[in-house]
Amino acid sequence: MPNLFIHSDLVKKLKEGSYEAFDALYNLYADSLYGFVLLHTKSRVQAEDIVGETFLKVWSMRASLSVEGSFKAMLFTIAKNHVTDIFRQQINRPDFEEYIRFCEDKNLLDNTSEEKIYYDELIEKLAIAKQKLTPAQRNIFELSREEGLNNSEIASLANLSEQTVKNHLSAALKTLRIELRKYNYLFALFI
Amino acid sequence: MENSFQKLYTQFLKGEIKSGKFEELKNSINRLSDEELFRHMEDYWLNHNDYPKLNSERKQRIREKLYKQIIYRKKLSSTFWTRMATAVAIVAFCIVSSLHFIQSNKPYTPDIFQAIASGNSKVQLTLPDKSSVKLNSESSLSYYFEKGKRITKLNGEGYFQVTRDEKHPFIVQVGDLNIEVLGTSFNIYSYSDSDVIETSLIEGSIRLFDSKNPTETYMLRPSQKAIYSRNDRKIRFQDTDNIKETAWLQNHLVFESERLSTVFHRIERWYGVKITLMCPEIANDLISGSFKDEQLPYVMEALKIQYGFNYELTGNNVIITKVNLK
Repeated sequence: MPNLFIHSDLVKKLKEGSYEAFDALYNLYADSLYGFVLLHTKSRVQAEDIVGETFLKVWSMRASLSVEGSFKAMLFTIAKNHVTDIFRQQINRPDFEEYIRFCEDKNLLDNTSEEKIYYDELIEKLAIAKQKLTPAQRNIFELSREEGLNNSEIASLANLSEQTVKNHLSAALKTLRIELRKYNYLFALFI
Repeated sequence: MENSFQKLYTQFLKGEIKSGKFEELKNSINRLSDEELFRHMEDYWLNHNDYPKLNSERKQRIREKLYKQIIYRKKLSSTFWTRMATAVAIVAFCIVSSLHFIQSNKPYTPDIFQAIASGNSKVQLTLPDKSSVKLNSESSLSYYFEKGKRITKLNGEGYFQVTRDEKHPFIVQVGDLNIEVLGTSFNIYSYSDSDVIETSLIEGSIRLFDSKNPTETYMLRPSQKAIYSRNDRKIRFQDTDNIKETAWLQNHLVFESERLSTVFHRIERWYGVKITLMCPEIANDLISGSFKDEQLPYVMEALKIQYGFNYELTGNNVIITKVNLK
């Protein structure tokens, strides 16, 4: 395994404080780590942050790194707590289910596309689309889809009838569908 | 159970999980301990390589952010100054941002530590020997250990509080001027657009000498200032006030009988602006003043009232137009 040898050599240099070795390790492993985190968090922003912070830790704890064993396994050990925290946080977001449904619809309609849409992109586009809603529609949409409240909870909170809440919500969804089509998103999920 | 989890987890990662199954996966993950979850994740990490791509722009952005946060250290080499220039381009800090060099296991290594304060920012640093330095705006500093001495090169203005270590003298080099220190606090004002390098001793004692004439040394007392001229290589001394010399540390901009041209230079650096003097006849007027945490328009207005010039402030440019006749 010549690769393994080179990597342990790099780790040895890194331990001595070599900036070049650190750079080489970053270039070798940043891509996989980023991809791995992105698959878990579905967020490019989170993936970027975690990659940065993980390598920052690699640098600050370089003296205690082991030359034995694979750097790839070490990298996981350093990153795992952070990745797990964000992973758990993401999947428990109320609107994450909408995102999953969105991916499902997209896969059904367009299975050939390699291009994936990530959670934060969807939220970003949604934030722009939400500007087209009336304040009441927006408020009710957010309580429903982002806070995860059901219609009767929203009705009592907003002091409205449940039917009014339903009407606002369906008007909001209709507007959002139209807005999001502008971004070529096949936005069938909010039905 | 294990197999079905594995299957759903993999589908989730690939973005292919059915929405009806997501709830099941989420509940499983919420029930798993971190240790169990780590095991699944590590398994995937070590056995897959087919990840979404990290585009090179993003990769470079993460890298740059990373380097702003880590110590910028490189081996001493002949290309030191070109590297310094690169480092200078990369490292830029915000106002009163603070950067602490991570203490290495060997504080006395030949590695170079570098920092700059660009624009109108100030930077607080802790050197590997635990000495602290505050850099004023548009100043840069490098530090390394050589032949038993702690060597610092400074360009601009810095306030030093040097950790006492008799065995390893601390030397600040500004061009050919050397300031040798055992453990003390002092301020150095040495912007390259000025002929003079001013060293003010706050406490302790320091020794100054010119590299070209190292046998001739000068000792400085506290509350005394050494003014070295780069042109004629002469040092003169004057008594000074510690509060005035270190006023910039508290965001105090103080002038005491200074030439208007010098004052404008200091304002340029302090606020990161460009001042054009259209009436050079006032350049040598002496002025005094003190400003604390003031915005530029206030300072210009105060000087205008006192000295009767007119000015125009547009963006980062100030044009001093003419002197009103009294």
